[in-house]
Amino acid sequence: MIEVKNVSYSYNGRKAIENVSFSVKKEFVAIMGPNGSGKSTLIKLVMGLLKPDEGEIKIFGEDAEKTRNFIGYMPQKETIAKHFPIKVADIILMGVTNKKFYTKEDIKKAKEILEKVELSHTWNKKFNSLSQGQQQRVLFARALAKEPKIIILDEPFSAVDLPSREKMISLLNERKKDGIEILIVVHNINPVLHDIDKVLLLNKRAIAYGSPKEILNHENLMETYGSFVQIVTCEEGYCHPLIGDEHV
Amino acid sequence: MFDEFIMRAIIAIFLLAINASIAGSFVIFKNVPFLVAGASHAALAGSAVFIAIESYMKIDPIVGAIIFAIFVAFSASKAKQANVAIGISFAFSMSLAVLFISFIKEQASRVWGLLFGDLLLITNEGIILMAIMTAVVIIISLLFAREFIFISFDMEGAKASGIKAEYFNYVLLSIISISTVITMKAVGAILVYAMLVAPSASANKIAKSVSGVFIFSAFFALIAGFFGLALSFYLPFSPSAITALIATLIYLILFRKFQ
Repeated sequence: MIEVKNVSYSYNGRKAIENVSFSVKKEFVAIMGPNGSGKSTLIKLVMGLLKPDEGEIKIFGEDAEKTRNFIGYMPQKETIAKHFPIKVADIILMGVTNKKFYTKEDIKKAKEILEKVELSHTWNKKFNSLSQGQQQRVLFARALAKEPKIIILDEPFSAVDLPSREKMISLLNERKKDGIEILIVVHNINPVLHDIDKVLLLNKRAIAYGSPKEILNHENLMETYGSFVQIVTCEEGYCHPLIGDEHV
Repeated sequence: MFDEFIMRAIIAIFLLAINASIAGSFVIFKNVPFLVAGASHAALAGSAVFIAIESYMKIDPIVGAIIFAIFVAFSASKAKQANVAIGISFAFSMSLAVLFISFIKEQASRVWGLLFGDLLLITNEGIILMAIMTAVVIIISLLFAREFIFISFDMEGAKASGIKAEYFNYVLLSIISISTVITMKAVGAILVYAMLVAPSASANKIAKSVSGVFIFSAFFALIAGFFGLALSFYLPFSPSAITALIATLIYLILFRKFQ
């Protein structure tokens, strides 16, 4: 369970997060907002990588920095070093264990998770020789590899093609059925709109938090993005905001 | 039978290759080539300070070199912009170096010796010191190889997975700084840059794995070292200069081929 209560955070005196509160209990939650709205800062706070200036964050009732072992994290692809020939196997194994030496069991587990994202053939390949979409799927597999209690993904679908994206979402839905909390930062919410339980509209402060059917409306989106956002309502009654397709 | 100067130079080349392989590869992985320049010039200042205070405290100037070089690593690991911190430390230590060299005019040649280095002028004590420090670098790198590679690939992910990333970052940068001082003893503060960056940069172009980068870096450093030493017998040039030149040429050739 993730509980964020009245959290504020500033970078060099500039407010990045203002009095944000929300909680996640065995749910699939998307965080959505414009560039610079504090989405990545908020998930760093949840993971305990940053300490809030005000407020508190509890993960399963404990301080965030004590619970990193529970979390499977996929960072934004821009923060990953791609200039040296690290192999896919090494990356997945980073997610499986923090121990100095791998056991046969660890390798088996790493191969299984790579198979789930349909990239078994890349096991011995250099990460930087893969396409951007494949790289994203490798990082996604690493986040799932340690069988985390919480999964946090920052822009996981960037540059990922449609079939791979659907595969990733179905894997996330499987984890959700197992009672895993999922927090996902997205620029474009439409690929996961039918799968998520709640959405947090963020622009430094929490504009709205609730089920997508309840809160994705013109008023909230206007307040979040500062301009009119067109909405298309699908047959299932979900409001799909038409916001720039990819955050590249 | 080899002359003892040549024997020492050969041992120094092997030690240099080990440092070029370990520290050099991590310089490329962490993308901190400027740290080598900063640490080597700080080491120069450290040596100058310890030579200046030699009459009060008899400590090997190499200790000063290591302390100052690790100071650069510390400031780089603490700063948000590592290169800016290295640049400031570089300027600060060079100012100190110039200041102290002016105090120790009669001993200044010892500091200048560190600036250019000479493979053929390494003493037995120098070799032993290089070997001990290289052993430290090997042991720490073997112990924390996984953590070092993880933080080089994905600092945020490493933090999120519970690794003490800031601490390992500091240890890694310190290891690079110590290697810089070791290599500096063989090729000098200026050419150390070529030896700790060029072989690994070349290896990074052709290797198919992380371990491949370590192996090729050592191989290129050995080629450069031995050719440099051999050519210095036929040409009236310093072996350190030729070694650094060959290391750089290997990179330029591979750069053209694998661009």
